[in-house]
Amino acid sequence: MKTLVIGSGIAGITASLDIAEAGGDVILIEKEHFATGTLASLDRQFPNDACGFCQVYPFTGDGVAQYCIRRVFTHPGIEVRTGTEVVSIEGEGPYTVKLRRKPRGVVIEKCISCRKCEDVCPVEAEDSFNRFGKRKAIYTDYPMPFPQSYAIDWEACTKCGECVKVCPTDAIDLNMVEGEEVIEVDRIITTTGFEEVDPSLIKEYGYQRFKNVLTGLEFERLLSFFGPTLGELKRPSDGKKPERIAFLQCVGSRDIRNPLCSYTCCMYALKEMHLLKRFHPDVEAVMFYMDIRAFGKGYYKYFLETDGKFIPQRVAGIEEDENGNLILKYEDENGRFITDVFDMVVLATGQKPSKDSVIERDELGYPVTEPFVNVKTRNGILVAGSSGGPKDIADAVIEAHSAALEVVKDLTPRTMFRNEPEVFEEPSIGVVLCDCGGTMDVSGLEERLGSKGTPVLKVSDLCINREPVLQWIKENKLDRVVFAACAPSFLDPVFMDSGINYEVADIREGGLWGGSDENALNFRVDAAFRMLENRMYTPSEDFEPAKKVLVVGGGITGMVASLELADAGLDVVLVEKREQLGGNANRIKKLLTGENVQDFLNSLIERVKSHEHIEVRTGENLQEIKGSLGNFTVRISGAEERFGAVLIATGGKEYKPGDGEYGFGRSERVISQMDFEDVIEKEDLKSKTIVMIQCVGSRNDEHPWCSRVCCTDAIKNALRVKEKFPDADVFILYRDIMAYGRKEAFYTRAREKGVIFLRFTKGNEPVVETENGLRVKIFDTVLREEVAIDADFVILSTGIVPDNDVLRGIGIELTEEGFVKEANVKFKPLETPRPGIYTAGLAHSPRDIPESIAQARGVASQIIGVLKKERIVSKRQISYTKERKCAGCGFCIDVCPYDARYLDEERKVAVVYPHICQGCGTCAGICPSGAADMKEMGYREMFSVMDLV
Amino acid sequence: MEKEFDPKIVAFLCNWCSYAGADLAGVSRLQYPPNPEVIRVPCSGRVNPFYILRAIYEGIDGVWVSGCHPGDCHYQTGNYYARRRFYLIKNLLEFAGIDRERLNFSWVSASEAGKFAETAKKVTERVKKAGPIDKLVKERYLND
Repeated sequence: MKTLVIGSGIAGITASLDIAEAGGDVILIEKEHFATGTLASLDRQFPNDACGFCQVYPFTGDGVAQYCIRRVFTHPGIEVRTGTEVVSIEGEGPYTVKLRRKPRGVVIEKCISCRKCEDVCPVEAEDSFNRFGKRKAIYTDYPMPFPQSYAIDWEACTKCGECVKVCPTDAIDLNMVEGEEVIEVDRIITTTGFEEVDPSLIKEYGYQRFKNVLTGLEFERLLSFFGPTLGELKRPSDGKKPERIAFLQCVGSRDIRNPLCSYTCCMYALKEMHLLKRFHPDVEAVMFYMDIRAFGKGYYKYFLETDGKFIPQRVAGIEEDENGNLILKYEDENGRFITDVFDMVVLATGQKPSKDSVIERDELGYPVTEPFVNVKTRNGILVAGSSGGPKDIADAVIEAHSAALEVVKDLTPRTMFRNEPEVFEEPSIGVVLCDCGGTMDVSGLEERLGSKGTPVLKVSDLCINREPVLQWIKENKLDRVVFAACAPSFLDPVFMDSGINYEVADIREGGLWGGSDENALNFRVDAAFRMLENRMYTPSEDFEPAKKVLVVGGGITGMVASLELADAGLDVVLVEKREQLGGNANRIKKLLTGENVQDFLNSLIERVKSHEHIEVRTGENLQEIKGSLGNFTVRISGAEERFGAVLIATGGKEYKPGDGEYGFGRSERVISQMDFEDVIEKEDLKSKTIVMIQCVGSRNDEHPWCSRVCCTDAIKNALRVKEKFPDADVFILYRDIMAYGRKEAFYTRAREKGVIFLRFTKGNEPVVETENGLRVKIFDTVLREEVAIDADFVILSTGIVPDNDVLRGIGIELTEEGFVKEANVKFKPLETPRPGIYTAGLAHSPRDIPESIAQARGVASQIIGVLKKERIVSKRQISYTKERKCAGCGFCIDVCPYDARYLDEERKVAVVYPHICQGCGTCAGICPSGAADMKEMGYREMFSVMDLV
Repeated sequence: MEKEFDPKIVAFLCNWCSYAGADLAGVSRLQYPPNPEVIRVPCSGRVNPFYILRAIYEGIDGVWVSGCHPGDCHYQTGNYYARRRFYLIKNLLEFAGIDRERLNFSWVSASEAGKFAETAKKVTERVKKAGPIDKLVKERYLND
């Protein structure tokens, strides 16, 4: 089964890896010449200011490059084609797809990245990646790119031919032409990402007219340590370090040109403020905003931690003075016109889904998807990531997993790929020496190695010469070989699955290019030699995973996941502590978009109850989870059972206001938003006044998180009231309206229908008086005076609080707030730090029903991929215990981040689960007796190398 | 004139962040002193205090351990252990009479090429300032 993934951003990569890991073949195309989309230009991510690109790769899987995403992207099941676009698609699965390949000018298979061409190229062009400064006409987007090859910027190239003359491998072809190709694929996933709204259209902000007005992405590059200034903060006009920077939100979002919210801008602007404070603490940051949409997991806290000034106003216009400073005009909270001068302005430029013609889209460019499952479109093509509407990384990853599920569930796992290198009794080691197209002088090394009698092969282009080199190794009867050449990140993709034992001595990036001398080069080669000599090789281990999954929680999330898993042939045990399935959804009538929740829920319950592979157990009690991925032993109500994976979908609960909080409990007409759904259906609200109060039990000191759904729930119910009783008055008292992404349309509609929105701030909460009828008093920030509303109903938009107490003490890590902790907020949002245990739905964080379903499907996709494998195979570079030395102290067990070690109670020694161990060596670092060691990179190797220094 | 002291430094760089940062420094052609001899380790948390003691014992003039920034660790927590461990061993070695300047710890991410080159310079300078280490008896550590 072949899948075409269009677009190589984070969503495309995630979906491709899911499918390839589960045994499918993927063709991943990217229209640019270099892969990874916007991702490569981001240094750090919110809400932890961490990098984390290395976290993208799946936990299991041999043959997967364990590298930072910026460096390498390689998987035996994925074929990446850059510079390739879709011309047309025919059929409804299988599809006939016509692709067009733009000429790159450089043959990828021949380019050895020696940089000679770049050095001689006389043409300078705008740096399209860094967005400032210049680069040559023959270029790579970012250092260590994928593919590892140069490309030609045809607009700038003069075809002078200098590069062709110096290229040692004849890789450059200035006459390369466009090519077309027709392929047959079974499934298509489109992940084409977003496009920025052109900020120069908003004339009053002077983008492009004023040099110091930048977009968010441009500023991101300016802050980057491998950006145009190498992390030095300089403003473009004069290179001066700015002292005051203004961040303007919603530029090209939530306006006439782009009526929807761009989802990520608030957060990326906050991140830029964070990074600014971290690396340039003396710079003052001021943000002008409409609403701070910090609605994701941990985002509100991140906002609170942001050091800067926040002004809830739009800037009317910007002017420039003679020094390049920018004069901002706006109205402050007290209605005064203010003129303020800044050194630099950063526009949070809006985003729109990028237009691809492969799926049906509405007039704003958003895809038309199936109800409840927002990755399926009508013609069977799947959509994920920002292509389905701007999204942050975590949500794009979740959607990508969800889209991949449609492919993964139909796959038969690949026959296990094992290519274990041979090891002789006595090490026989040779050296392959590469001079990188004659750019490096390695004669000294060659002579020295030759005089020692080591077999040496000198080549000029190791990275493109795999077969002859392997042949030489075989002929010389070597079982280990040193590649004295470029960085491992260049060579690993070529040799990692070639069935030889090798160690890279990086004499290019880490050597000559960094200014190393002869001694340092010798050290590198000798060190690699010694390592190989002293390395302990053992074959990897494998076992058959239990093909049974435990799903904890019988809400929508748990049920959707169970059905997908069971449909794929895995046995599922669904445990629910209540007697009834359905969880919170039992109380929800309709989605914001109008779909009937109850019909959907009932059909789910029916299917779950009648599915042959699902066993529903209600009223049961989870007691302990032992073991690891593929092999868990779980104690439920006293009995032990074996499972391959566990999904925690225990859900959340509604916050219950305290007695008297906003009049709650003092009047029958002060009720929660969820209870109000029923009232709308049953009671006559004609001419009634309804006041809704937001952030009840959210975003306060006790609950420092946004519950994400309450704003749009309020809008949903307000619209419903207005639809049924047009003359009813509805007020929504809010702090920030979280109508993110497409939901903005409903916020706009509510205002059009006459719903009145009044803003209050934290500390100035409205007061509800319950004596002599209901009266709500609020200080209106627009009128700047107190307003009193006589209400018939006061509706409290109560937040979501975790319901994870059952998880305490059974080995599931929770966040401070009490939600389940994920392995990585951005790149592994559905996995817990313990491999094989996943989380989705409200147990993970507040979210609406379609978002919970996406998570449930995403988890199912990952579990199916792992558990349907015949065997789970361990990595080779893992830890082990020298049992003779082990005192059984258990330090290594405490520090292992993956729970890959346990104590053998009888023998009192620490034992390793080989297939769980990721080879970090934290255990070897902490072991006081040297009993915990690594199979490759062990004590013996390390010491033998240190002797050389 | 006397030849300038050329210190021997062993650098343990974590595979994910600092080694990648070193790669990037090379690609960006940033020049830095060749003194730190690089040993690539999976994680800074893998560096057992033994290695540092052993390096000093073997007469290496300085040690440099570099890992991911807090929160960036590929293995989630390895760099935190490294940080604590390093703090302790620095104090211990100072107590034993070893100059603090010889032991260096840094965070360098995969994108911080400039910082890598800077730190390499700084570490070399510091160890130079500390001067040659008085050699202890060189003896093969018995493994196993």
